[in-house]
Amino acid sequence: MTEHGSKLAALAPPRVGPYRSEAFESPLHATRTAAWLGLALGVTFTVCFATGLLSHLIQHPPSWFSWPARPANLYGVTQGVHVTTGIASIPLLLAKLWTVYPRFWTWPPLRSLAHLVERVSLLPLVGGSLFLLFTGVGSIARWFPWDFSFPAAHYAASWITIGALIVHVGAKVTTIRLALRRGGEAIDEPEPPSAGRTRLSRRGFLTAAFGAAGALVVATVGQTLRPLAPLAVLAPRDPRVGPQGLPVNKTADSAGVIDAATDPAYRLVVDGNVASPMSLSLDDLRSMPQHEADLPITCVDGWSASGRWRGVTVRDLLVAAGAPATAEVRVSSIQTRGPYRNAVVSAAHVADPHTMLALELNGEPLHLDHGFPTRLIGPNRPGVMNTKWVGRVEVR
Amino acid sequence: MSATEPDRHGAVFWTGVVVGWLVIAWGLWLVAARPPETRPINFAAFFVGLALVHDLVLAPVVMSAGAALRRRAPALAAGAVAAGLVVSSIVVVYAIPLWLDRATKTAQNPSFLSRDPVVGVVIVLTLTWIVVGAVVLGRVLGSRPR
Repeated sequence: MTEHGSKLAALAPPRVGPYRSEAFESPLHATRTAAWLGLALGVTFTVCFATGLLSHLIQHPPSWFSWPARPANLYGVTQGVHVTTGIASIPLLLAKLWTVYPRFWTWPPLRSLAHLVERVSLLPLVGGSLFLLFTGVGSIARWFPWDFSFPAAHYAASWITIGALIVHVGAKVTTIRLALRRGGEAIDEPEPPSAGRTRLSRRGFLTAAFGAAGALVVATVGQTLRPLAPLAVLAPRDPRVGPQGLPVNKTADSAGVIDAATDPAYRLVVDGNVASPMSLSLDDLRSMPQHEADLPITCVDGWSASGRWRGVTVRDLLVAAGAPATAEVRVSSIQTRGPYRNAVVSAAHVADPHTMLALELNGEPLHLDHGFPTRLIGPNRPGVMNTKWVGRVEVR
Repeated sequence: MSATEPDRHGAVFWTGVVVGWLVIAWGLWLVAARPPETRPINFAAFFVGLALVHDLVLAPVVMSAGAALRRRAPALAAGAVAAGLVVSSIVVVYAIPLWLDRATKTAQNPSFLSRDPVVGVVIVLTLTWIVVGAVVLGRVLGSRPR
């Protein structure tokens, strides 16, 4: 112990507020309970971080990263896991913070340099964890009480939080091992004999926390897994509800494209690294060879729904313009604002025969909210990268 | 918490500190490097503010509620009721952002929140309290002399 720590330790704790001896009398504030919750959170936060990082890499690919076009629903799985695991983390985090809350008021507040580092590292851990879950739920609920860009802030906070989690695991690994091994109850004061009969036992508390996580999962996962959609009473989306049977993330009205999208003078421009630049009307597109495919559309918010799409493959379009069929292209919307009005389609996705500019969905012309007159749709792509109301295809 | 919990700060701890704070520093750089998007002041306000709201408001309120429940709830029901309150409060907290300004959001996009989250909360809480009631009933019946 440092000299400073010794001096602090020699001081009697103040007998007020949380420093009263009876302030935290509940036996639920147990190390073993905290260890179980911490272990579960370690798993859920690691899964969230990995799947979130993957989503970021797909949307902002560095030169060393490539995302395959198949399996078609892989992104639906990883992003569904990301959102569902995040939702499951809410009760686990609140229960964990409640369990260890007395430690916030530990006396002496600092015992050594290592103790100082450990305590300082709790701010990025607690603040980051709450920040990620708060902004995550706010985002899927379309509730934005903040000024920052959700993707940029959520991404940065995920690194801060996972770094703090590494520090925390390093600090607690011995405690966790002792607490979770068989007979680990010895690390805590024994529960009162009445626990479980006349008050909530530690096992009951854990059951409630994991039960709440399970309830939230059951009540939301149906937005990703269509067979469970009838149970998704707390999900922001029902994958069966929307124009032409599919949900919509951004409407034509909110994108400000109604006039431009319904203008008879609409043209799709194909240019860039091509032998024959083209300017195609909707009828021109309809007269080209049409291709049909069942493809999922997956939103970064976690919902996923499939439809039968029909249109012109990007590969055919490139061949018609005299470009290599495996070139990379940049697809732009007629939207004049919004961070997702452009998307890059990698060579692997262009080469896939199911990557197309869709003109129809489920046997009908595309609904305006689904991207009329034409939208990009392809296998294994985030919804925000399936650009709607396409006005330009630039070959690179 | 236990007084027997070990307080060890060896090589594993310091390795975790170095690696972890390098990762934290990368996250902080991401905040600082793109201020038009991350709005560092606003970011920090939410980051620190949420922790303070939890530690200085939410946790004390939950502690007080738990203490009041222990004093006033019938002994045989206290545990199950406490568990029911844990589940119920978390479900309600989750659903609040869904409920806020729902009318405006669904008017702009009818496929969003097509199901009323209030109805969803009522369904989940009803099922939760049916389970709580069953547990309490089982304890009452089990405690009767035979």
